[in-house]
Amino acid sequence: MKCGRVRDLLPAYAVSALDAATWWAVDVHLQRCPRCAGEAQPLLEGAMGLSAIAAAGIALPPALKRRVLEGIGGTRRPLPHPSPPAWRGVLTGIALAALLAVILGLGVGVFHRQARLQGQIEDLAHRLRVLETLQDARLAHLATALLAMQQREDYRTETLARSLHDLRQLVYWSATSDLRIIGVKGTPSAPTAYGVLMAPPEGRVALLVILGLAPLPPSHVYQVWLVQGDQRISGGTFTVDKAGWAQVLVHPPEPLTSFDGLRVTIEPLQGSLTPTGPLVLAADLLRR
Amino acid sequence: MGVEVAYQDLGDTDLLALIAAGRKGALEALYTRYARHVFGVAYALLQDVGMAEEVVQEVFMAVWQKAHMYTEARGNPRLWLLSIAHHRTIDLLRRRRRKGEVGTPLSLLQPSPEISLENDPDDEAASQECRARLLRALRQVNPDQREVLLLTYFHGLTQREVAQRLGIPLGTVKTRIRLGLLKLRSLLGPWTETDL
Repeated sequence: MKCGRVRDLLPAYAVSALDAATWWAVDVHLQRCPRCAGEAQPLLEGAMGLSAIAAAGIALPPALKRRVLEGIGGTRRPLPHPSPPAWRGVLTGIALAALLAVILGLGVGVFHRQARLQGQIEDLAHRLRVLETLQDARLAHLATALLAMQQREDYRTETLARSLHDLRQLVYWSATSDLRIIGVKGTPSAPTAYGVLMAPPEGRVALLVILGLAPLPPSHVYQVWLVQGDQRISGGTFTVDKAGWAQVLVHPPEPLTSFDGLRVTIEPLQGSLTPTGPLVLAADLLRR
Repeated sequence: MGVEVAYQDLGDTDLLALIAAGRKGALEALYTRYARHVFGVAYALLQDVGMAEEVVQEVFMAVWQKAHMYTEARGNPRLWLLSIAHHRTIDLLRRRRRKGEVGTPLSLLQPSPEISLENDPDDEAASQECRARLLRALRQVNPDQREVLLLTYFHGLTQREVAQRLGIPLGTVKTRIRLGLLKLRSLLGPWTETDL
């Protein structure tokens, strides 16, 4: 499922207003796409308000906890996480042995002193075990993070491959006579900016080429919006190079002919759910 | 070798890392933190203690088995957990509806002592205060948006079913859900553990 489609479904995902298969498809996408997951956060937080309304004033059946914990007993499948390095166990053994040697060296006959040292040994051993446990957890967390990085890398590769495919399609379409080329004009906020939108009439991909937009600080991006009545559907974010040049592939969720216009605004780095910043570019798609 | 770790002092993300490493104590801590919320949602929607307990068991089993799949990129762990819980609840609700076993619709905007299983007077007072605050926020949401949120979140209708029932375009349903959720979020502000 593509990001544009997922973002269109996010409100319904947040309130489980999708059929089960679509809900899981969105959920799987969110596992691998941090940007879509970021867009889902505020919606899920709103939904959590609804769940809190439902949950307020209800107590847990006391016996449920025992049943849940018993239920998971024995169901564990081994999960991949790094084993603690063998040297750590050896070092732990050496440390304990050294401490024992110290005790013997001080004299077996001094019982109270031995008892005190024994207590210290147990305390140290306990601390070592706690440290080992925490280290295991940190290593497991690191492995999870590495896995996530790998997934993100795979996702970027897939995205690049898809973009290349789309660009090839556009090159093919550019050779046909029905390619739509629509002028995009700068607004008073960006009077020197201009661009063109190229797309086949019924296509689900369009190429937006822009010149003359000012480079933005790292905290902000330009965001494309497709206008349909009073709705604004995000078409993705982009930045421009030093010369104010950018080319953006836009994936409309419906054929481009079903939209009234295209807008570009300045938004925070993560993008916005609806336009919040100044309008810098606009195009009318209806009269084309 | 048994090691005492103060699980209750750890954050949700750390607890999930420990659950992924097979630490049952971490799951118990997460259960203590969120099981009441999960059960409350399931009970409020299903109106059946047995089925609500089934949801809690399934959700925490899923956490136990899938904790390694959680990544910080998914955002707040409790949102992940509660979205799984609500989805599972809605799934059961729709099955009951298909079988004709539709329970009494939940009247959220009215006081509902009939769903309270609370027996500690202090807890009950705090819960009622929390509920009143949440309901005040919900009442401030635009009525059209609120209606769509109630039909989807509490009655289990899909967005298409809502569009058909209200006779409005699907796009309008999507917009109302989005705006209603964002409005509710802005009214309730940041969440804390005590809100749950």
